Amino acid sequence: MRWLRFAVLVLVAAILQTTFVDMIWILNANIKPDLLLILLVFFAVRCDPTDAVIASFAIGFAADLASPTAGFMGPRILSFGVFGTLLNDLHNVFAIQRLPYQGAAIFVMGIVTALASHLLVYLRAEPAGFSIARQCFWQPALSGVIGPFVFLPVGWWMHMNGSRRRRPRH
Amino acid sequence: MTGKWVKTSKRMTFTYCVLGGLIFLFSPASVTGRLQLTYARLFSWPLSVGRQVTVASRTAPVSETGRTIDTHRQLQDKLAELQVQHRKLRNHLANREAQLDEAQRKIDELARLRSVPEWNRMSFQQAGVISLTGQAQSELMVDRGQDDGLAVGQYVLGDLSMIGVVSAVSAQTARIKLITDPTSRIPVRVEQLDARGVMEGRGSGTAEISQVPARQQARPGDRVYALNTPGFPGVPIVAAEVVDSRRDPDNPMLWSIRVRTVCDIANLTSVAVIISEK
Repeated sequence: MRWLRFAVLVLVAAILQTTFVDMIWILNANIKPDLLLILLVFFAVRCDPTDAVIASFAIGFAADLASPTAGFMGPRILSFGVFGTLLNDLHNVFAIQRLPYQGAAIFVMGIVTALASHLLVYLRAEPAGFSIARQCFWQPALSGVIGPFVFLPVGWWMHMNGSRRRRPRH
Repeated sequence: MTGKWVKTSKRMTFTYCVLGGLIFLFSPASVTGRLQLTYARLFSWPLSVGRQVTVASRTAPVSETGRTIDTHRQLQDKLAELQVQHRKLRNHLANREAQLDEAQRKIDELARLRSVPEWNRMSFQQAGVISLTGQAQSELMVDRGQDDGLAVGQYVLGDLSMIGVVSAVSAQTARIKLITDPTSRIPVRVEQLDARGVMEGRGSGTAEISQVPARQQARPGDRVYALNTPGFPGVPIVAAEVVDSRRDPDNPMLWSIRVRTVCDIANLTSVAVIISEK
């Protein structure tokens, strides 16, 4: 794992997420792809288990840093970390290689991380401005559509094109 | 052995990371806020550039749908702005209408004064009634004074009838002694009788003309006109009307005539002071 490249990539993604991604919107200005979610799935699928755990929590940290939920950090560190680790474990059972599967993985991860973050916020404060349709459907769906195509340049940058593991043959 | 170590390491790494996440979650917002501020400060340049580019891009719609939505939003904003302006203009118009009505009322009042040809030679000063004072309710306080040209002795009209004279004046207010004031003495003429006399105030809205030489009794409602005196316009101005009359007990040839004002002084809101002759 090239951690320096990883750090640069996550940093650029965090900056892009709060700036240029605002230009990409469909139907509604608040529905936009989540670059860090796409990176989460990418590293969960293509990294070694330990690296995947660290990468997942680090991406969650960047997500909280760039656009904090309800004014404090933590919800996405935990949700990204936990579900990134789970996805990595799941990848041992069946490989997520084809583009539609990768898109579907991003979509599902978007939903569960959004819900988990929302629930974690309850531990600290009353969440405000949570839109189920937007955060649990439209945003993950848009990320799922764009995500597989982002995997290519990210894989090239990280020298990680190709899946870490292949589905075990019986 | 190596595989077992790696597996344990993953679990421990996961545990540490979860603990770290929980620490962040329950840390005070001021502490985590510093981290976020540091991030924003370190990367302020790319963040601000990105923000500017994003804002600039929003001004140029990317599609027909986006253009339509933008147009719709702009129209909504403009509509809201116009509604605010409409409310302001409506209130402004209401204020102007009230001012216009007030000005029109003053014009009508002055026009009525000018309707008497002889009064064209006079100059009038409109004054608003502040209060009706005096023990016998026989004095008026008005909101015009020396600064407006008022002086002691000037005659005062109310509802186009003479109601009194200016008895005291200050810079911005004046006191008017009504013809019903017990100290008021005004030479008058009873029109129907063609008889003259001095009208003395009796208070309570009445006055009396004593020792009037007349061959017949005055009838209720006969007009009483103020006579020409220094400072008076020189034209007859109605001042009162006859209420009743009786013979003088000492001299049956003379009459005592009780009169009252022809103006509803209690409800008077403005008066006209005769300033001078042109």
